[in-house]
Amino acid sequence: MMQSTKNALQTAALALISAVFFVVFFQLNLAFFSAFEYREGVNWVFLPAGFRVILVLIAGVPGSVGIMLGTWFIDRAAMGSDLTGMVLTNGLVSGFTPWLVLKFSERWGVMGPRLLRLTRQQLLNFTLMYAAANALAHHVSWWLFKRADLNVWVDVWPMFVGDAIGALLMLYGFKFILNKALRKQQAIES
Amino acid sequence: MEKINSPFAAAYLRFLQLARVIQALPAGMEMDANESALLEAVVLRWYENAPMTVREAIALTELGSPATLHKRITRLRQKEMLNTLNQEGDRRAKFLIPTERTLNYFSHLGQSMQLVQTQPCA
Repeated sequence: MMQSTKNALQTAALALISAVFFVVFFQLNLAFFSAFEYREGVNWVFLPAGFRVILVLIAGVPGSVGIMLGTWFIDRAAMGSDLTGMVLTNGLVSGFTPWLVLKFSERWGVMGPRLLRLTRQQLLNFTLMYAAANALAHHVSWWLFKRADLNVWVDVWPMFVGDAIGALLMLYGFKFILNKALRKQQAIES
Repeated sequence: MEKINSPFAAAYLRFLQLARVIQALPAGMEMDANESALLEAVVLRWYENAPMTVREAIALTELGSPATLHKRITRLRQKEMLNTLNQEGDRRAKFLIPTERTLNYFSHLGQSMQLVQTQPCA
C-alpha cells in the first residue's frame, strides 16, 4: 500500500515536472522565435516539440499527461468559451500523439520496447514520424472543430517543419550540454 | 530480471539511455575511411616521437596523390582532428599533431576494443 502511494506520488510529480518544462519552453519559444510564427499555435521553429519527444521517451504516460496539462494551461484563456472542446482536444493531441507514435513504433518494430537498444537512427526516425503525426493530428482536430481560416493541406507543412526543427534543435542542444558536462568531468579527473 | 517499479528510477534509466543515444547523434564531423587512414598514420608517427611534417604526409603515396592528401589534411584540420606545429628556428617545417578531440576519439576506440574483449560470447 505504502509502495503504491509512493509510486502514485512519483507519477504525479513526473507529470507536473513535464507540464512545467513544457510551459517554460513554450514561453521561451514565444520570446525567441515569435518572428517565425506562421499563425496562432503554429511556428516554423517550435522548441517545445523537442520537449514532447524527450518527455515522452523518458517519462512515458506521465510525460504525456504533463504535456496535456501544460497545453491546457497555455490555452486556459479560451476555456469556458465556444472553443472549450477544441482546447481540450488540443491538449489531448499535444500530449498523446508522441506517446501513440512511440507505442506504434514499438509495435511495428521501428524501436525496441522501453528504449532498449535504441540507436541514433531510430531516434531521428521517431522524431520525424512524431513531427508528421503531430502536425496531421492537430490539423485534423482543428478541421473537425471548424477552426477559422484553416487550410489543412497548406497549414500542416509549417507545423511539421517547425516541430521537426524544434525537436532537432532540442536534441542537439541536449547533446551540446552533455558533451560540455563530459569534458568538464574529464578535465576534473585528469 | 527484477522489474523496476519506481517511476523515478525508470525515468532516470530511460534518461541515461536517451542521453547515450543523443551523444551519438551525427554532428557532421564524421571522418570517412580515407581520412581515418591518414589520421592513423599521422598519429602513429606522433606516438613514436617522430611527428610527421605536412610534406611527409602528402608524400604517403599509398594513401593518395599529394593534392588529394593535402585536401584531406585540410579537412582533418577543419574537423579539429589535426593541428600544425612549427619547429623553433625553422618555420618552414610544419609538423602535424593530434588534437584533444583526436586523443578522445582514440581513447573511445580503445575503450570499445576493451569492451568487446571483456564481453562474454553469446
